[in-house]
Amino acid sequence: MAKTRIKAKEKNGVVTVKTLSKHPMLSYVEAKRAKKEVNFITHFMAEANGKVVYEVSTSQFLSKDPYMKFKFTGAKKGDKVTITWVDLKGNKDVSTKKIR
Amino acid sequence: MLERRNFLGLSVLAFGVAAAPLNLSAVNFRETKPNLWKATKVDDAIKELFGTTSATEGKIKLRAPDIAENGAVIPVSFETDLKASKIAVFQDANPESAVAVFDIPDNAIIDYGIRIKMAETGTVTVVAQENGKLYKVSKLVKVTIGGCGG
Amino acid sequence: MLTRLLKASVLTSFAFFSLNATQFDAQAQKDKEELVKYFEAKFQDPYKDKNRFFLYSPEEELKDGYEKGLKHMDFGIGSYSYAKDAREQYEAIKEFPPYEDKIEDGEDLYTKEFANGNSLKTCFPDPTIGGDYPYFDTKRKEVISLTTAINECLEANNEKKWNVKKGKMATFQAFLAYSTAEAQKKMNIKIPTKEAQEAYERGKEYYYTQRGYLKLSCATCHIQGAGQRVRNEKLSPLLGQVTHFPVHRLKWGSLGTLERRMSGCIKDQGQVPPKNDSKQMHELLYFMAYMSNGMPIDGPDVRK
Repeated sequence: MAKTRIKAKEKNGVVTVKTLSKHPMLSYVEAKRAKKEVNFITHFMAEANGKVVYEVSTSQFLSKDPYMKFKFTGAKKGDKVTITWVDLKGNKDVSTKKIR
Repeated sequence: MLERRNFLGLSVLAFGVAAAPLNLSAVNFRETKPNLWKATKVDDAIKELFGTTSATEGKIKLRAPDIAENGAVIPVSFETDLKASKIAVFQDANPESAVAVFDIPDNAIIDYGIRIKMAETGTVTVVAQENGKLYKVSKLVKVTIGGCGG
Repeated sequence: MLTRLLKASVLTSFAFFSLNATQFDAQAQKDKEELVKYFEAKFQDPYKDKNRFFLYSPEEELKDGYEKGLKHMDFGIGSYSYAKDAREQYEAIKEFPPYEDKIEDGEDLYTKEFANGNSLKTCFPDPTIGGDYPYFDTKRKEVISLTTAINECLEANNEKKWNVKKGKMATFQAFLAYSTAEAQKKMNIKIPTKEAQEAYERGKEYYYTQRGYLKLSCATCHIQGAGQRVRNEKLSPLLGQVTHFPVHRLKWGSLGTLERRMSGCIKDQGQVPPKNDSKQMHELLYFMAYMSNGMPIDGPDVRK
C-alpha cells in the first residue's frame, strides 16, 4: 500500500512537491531504547516524465514520518510524479500523484 | 552439470537484483560511501564525501530555528543558485554527523526542505559542491527541554 | 410635554436595560471583552511596554523575538502569534501537517456502522459542531463536553466507550474539528439559564484559583504570564486556547484531545487534575471555551 502522501503543484514552469511518508524512522539509539529493530528510509527519489528530478540518500536523523520539499522544472500540470523510497530493511514504497 | 551451475548463477543474480537499488541508475550514497554515515565528526564526514574540507563560506541560504520547538522535528530548509551537483547536510549533535546527501539532477531548483532530529544543541552545516569547489553555511540550533510538560 | 417625553424615554431605556440584565451571559461577555482588551494591550508593543507587562524579559528578546500589534483574532494560533522563532517552525510544519491522514480516518469512524446499524453520524448528523461544545444541557442541568457526548452516543448504541485522551476519540474529533473549520464556523458557546451561568462562574473560579505546592492558578501562566518565557517556551494565552483541538503535539508524536492536554498540564504544575469527564473539568472547559467565543475553529492543529 502506498505510504507516501504527495502534493505537487506547478506554477510558472516550476513544480513544487511536498511529501510526507509514513515511517517510524528509528535511529540506532532510539531503537535500542524502545527495544525495537532499527529501521529508517535510506534512499528517496522522485521521477517525472522518465527523468529523476530529486534524489537523496538519507540517514537515521530524519524525523519520524519524514517530510521532503523540493522543486524542479520540465513538467507541467497533469504530468505524474512518482516517489520511490527504500529503507534499511529493504522495504520499498512507490507512490504516484498528478501535478496540479 | 552446466545446467546446475547456470541455475545457481541465476539464483545468485536474482538475489543480487532483489537486494540492489531498485533503479540501477540511482545514485545511492549509502552504498557508494558507507564510511560517510559512520563518521562522528562533521569534518570527517565532509572529507569522506567530498575528499576535502576546504570550502568557501556563503552562496547558500540556510533556514533553521534558533531554538527548536522539539528536538525530534526540526524544520531545515536551504536554497541556492549554485549549479551544484551534490549537496550534503551535517550536524554535530548526534552520534554520527551525516544527515542527508542530495544528488542534484539537471532540472532541479535547489529549494529543498526536510525535518531532522537532533539529540542536543548543535550546529547544522550544509555543504554544496559546484564544479569541484565546495561552499558551506552553518547555523546553531538550540535544543532544550521546555518549561511545561503534559 | 418635554418632561413627559423625557420620562417616557427614561422609562423605556430603563426597561430595555432591565431586560438585558436577564441575559445570563452578561457577566461572561464582560469578562471576555476585558480579556481581549488585556491581550491586545499586552501585545501591542512588548518592547515598549516592558515595565508594564514584561518586567523580567531581556530587552533584546522583546525587540527581536516578539510580534507586535496583535488583535483579537490573531491569538487563535496561541503563542505562535507572538513568538517569532517558534512561529516559523510552526508554519514549516503546517506545510504538511502530520495529522492529515487522521482526518480521513476520522471520517471513516463517522460513518462506520455499529452492531445495531447506527453510526456516529446518527448521533451527530451535522459534523460542523466543533464550536458548540461544551454546552449546557438545560434538561440535565449540567455541562456536556464533546468527549462526553461522543462516549454517551457510543454507550447508548451498546458500543465500548473510547479513551478520552487519544486514539479513536482524538481521530474522530479531528474530523469534526476539520469539518467545522471548513464550514468557517466560530466558537459559539451559550449560557442560556441561571444554572448555566453558575456553572460558568464555577469554571472561572477554578481557572483563577491557586493550587498545589507551586501555588499556581491557570491564570498565573496563561493570563498574567502569557508571553513570558518558562525555559525555552513562551507561555500560551487563554484567548484562543481551546479553538485548535484535537492537537498533534510534537512531544506526543500523536493527536490528543483537549482533556489530554489539560490533565497533563495540570499534573505538571504539581496539582491533581479533575477527572476528564467530571463536572469540574466540564465547567472549567465551559469557561475556557466561552472566553474564545467568536474565534474561528481551527482544529486540528500542531503544537510543540
